[in-house]
Amino acid sequence: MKRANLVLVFFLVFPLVSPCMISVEEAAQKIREFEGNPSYPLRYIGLDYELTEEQMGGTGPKMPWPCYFFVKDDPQAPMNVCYFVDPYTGQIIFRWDRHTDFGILSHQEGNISNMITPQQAYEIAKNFILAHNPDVNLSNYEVLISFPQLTPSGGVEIPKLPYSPNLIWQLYWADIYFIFQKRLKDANGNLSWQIGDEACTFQITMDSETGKIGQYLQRRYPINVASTPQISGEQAEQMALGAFNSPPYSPYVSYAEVEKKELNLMWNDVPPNCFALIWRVYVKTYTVYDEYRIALGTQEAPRIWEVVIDANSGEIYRVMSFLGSAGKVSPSKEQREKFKKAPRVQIPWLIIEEEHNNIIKPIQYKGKFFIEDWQAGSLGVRVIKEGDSVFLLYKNRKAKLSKADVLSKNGKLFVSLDSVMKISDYQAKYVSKGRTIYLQRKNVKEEKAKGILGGTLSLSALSYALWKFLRILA
Amino acid sequence: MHFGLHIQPDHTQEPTHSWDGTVNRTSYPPNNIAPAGLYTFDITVNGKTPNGLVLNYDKDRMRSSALKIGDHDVVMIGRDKYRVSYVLNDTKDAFQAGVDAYDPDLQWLTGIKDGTVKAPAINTPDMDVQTDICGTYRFVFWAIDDHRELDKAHRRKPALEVNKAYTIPSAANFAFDTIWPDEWNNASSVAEDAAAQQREVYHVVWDSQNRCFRSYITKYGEWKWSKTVGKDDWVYESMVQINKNASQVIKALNRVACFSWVTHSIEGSGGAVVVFYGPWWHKDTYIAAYPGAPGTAGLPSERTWYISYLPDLSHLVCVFLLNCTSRENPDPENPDNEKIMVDTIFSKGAQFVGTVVGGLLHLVFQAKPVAKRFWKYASKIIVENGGWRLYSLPWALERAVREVLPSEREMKWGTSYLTTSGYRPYARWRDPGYPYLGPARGGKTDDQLKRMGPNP
Repeated sequence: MKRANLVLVFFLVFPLVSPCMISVEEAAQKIREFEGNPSYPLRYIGLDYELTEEQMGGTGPKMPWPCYFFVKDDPQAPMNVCYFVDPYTGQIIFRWDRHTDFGILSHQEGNISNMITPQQAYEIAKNFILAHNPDVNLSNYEVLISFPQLTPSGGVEIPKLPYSPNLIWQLYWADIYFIFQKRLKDANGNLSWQIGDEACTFQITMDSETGKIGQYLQRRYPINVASTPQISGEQAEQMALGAFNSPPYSPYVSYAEVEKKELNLMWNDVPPNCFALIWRVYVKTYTVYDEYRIALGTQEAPRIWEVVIDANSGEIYRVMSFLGSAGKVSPSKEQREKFKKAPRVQIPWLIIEEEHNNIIKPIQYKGKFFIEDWQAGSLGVRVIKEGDSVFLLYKNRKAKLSKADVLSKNGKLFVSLDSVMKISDYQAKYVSKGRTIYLQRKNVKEEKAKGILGGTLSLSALSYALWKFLRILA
Repeated sequence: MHFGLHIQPDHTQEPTHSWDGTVNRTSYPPNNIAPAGLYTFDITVNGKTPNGLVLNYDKDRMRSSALKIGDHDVVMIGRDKYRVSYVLNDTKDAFQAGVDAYDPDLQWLTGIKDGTVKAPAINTPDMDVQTDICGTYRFVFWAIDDHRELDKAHRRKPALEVNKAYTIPSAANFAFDTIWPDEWNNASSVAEDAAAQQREVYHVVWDSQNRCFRSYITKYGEWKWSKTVGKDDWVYESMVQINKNASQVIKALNRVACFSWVTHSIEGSGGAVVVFYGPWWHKDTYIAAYPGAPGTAGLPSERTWYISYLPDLSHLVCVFLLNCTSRENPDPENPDNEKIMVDTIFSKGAQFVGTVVGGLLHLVFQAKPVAKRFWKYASKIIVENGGWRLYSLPWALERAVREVLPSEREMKWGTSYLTTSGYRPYARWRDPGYPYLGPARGGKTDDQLKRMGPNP
């Protein structure tokens, strides 16, 4: 109880800036409602992005913004049941019974005869969802089940297949994984819109022998975005080609052509308007510069890229390549002309932070990079507003920001990337030619450097590093 | 073997003997010269009359005729910690026994010896042996009998020594570095991370004596190969291999225990053809599952290597491949194209081969975090709340894919609906149960490497 009081005091002193967010105590109340126990003992640990995987005992749900992380307050088993609560919607987006999960892992091998039937498993999953979401109509959801299957060659594949009551287990597997995904249909009953993994889904993992729930993931987010794009497909294609006709890809990309395009949704903000309608355009490229062939492809093995464009504003969100090579490209004269004529576009800067697999799109203002308050949260930094002052919080540190480090735009609060990095021990590598900012915790980089000096690299690797260094100097 | 024996004329001194290294075999090794190694031998002598008659009652031998060492073995039970086991076969306890360890250069490292050693009971002492250098270490088991009554001079005699070779398990992880300033396209950190995890691999064994589980840490290390057939001219190679040609990949596949690559695959190949990039002034090289596999048409033959041409790969304990395996509309006539590379490596004898099939992989979004989790889960034990968990290789793969790939942050229009099943783990393994990465094991021994020489 004392712990809970301490937490409350902390948040009274430092109120969160966004009025859309629920408090820690309100989040705790959501969990108690979820469990149907008004006195359910809970301990608040922190926001997930402020914690390490070790502190959380594993990977969290990884929303684009930070979520509250609680554990059941059980002195005998302090991390046995964990909860992640979305501060914007109050949803329990992830409940993790780690006791059950450990139990599952203790019998990775077993007999199929000991497994519950697919039908029993489905009933358990359905009843669990409905017990906690009585308003949900599961007939709007497609049900997928993930279980191992033997391939004709004798391999084991673990696909997600539509659930059918006639399923038969082929192999023993210690857990059963269900995915319920919402589908919207038009008046004729045809599928009109696929609500993807992230917007409306329930996912359940259970012990295949006991049916106990190990992990429960829930996402119910509103899609407040019109499905009709302002930018036509043809315009999107031109912009995608133009991306490779623009720095930093120009003049190194010798040729680009569009392979295909599709309309998607993408997380772009916090709820309630958290999605953007986007064009995702697939582009093939190659270069005649040998030194850039790995990045840009060759005519024999062109590189495949996706260019993500806001289907309403035309803003380019990102340009990223895949681990695949496209088939050989033999462009006609017209195709070459089309590429050359594609108008140049502005390639955005991106922040890459691999510790949390974060990709953040910053904005630039007067030569400085700024990120939104919730984006700072995904770097483990909280933005707090007290009167007219804005503070950053990171662990036990607190820093007041100068006016130059704060930006208000369209009702949104931005803070300078420099200030976020400073308080959270990040260091950045700005690669202006690549429009990319790489963030790394200072101690991580130092350890890496020590490893290299420690002699773990072969002579050839060292000579390669030296060669690369000389190239950079050149 | 051909020994030279020198006996002093006055017969009062111990005879000395030397060996010129030749063997009485003609097929291997070349020139009848035995390869460098530790050899054991016995000498028997018969007395002769001045006129040359052999005296059968007057004979002696160097080794004990009563004591034999058998069932000897060595297992790594922890970082630089080994459990040796052997049985002394005799009618009475041996006077003394022990085990000596030699490094890959055949230099003595350390040894242990027991005082009075029981026979015929199994002995299982533990040894601390610094095994930092990659290569094959040798453990020589020796013992001295306690049968003074059998020797004319009432001497205790040594048993014929036996030895066991232990090769430090090796690993190679291949990835690329684009040199393009846009460094998110670099996969080098995946290889570095994999190698870091492979250097510390946990495994758990049931201690039946104390009725509890015990965890040990073993390690995979560097690898090496010989530049010349039959020679000790070793070339040492890092566990991290960045921007290497396909020939180097094949070389590693032929030698190491633990292997991974992160690279590009050719469209239409379903992952049956992958590309490797040497330095920028080199041309790209390719690895294909087998001739005629999807995507192989038009590949330059002088720069293409085929997995199906490789000899036995049963020394491979774990193979993990990450590359794009298919497009969104895989060839409906060959839905299993994307599994060909895994199936081919597995068919050559590898013990576990895993990958992700079902779509294009973003390096940053998907490949890096999947690889990071796979190696972490496969190599590390998590102890918590009085329990522990350690993932088998199929489970490590499944969990890594499940945690990362559903979190792609886009949603699609209905036309892509049929690809909902999307990314999925695919693996093959030989164990009747589920295989684990630990304890670290496998790879080719120094002797095998010497015989292989500089191939491929």
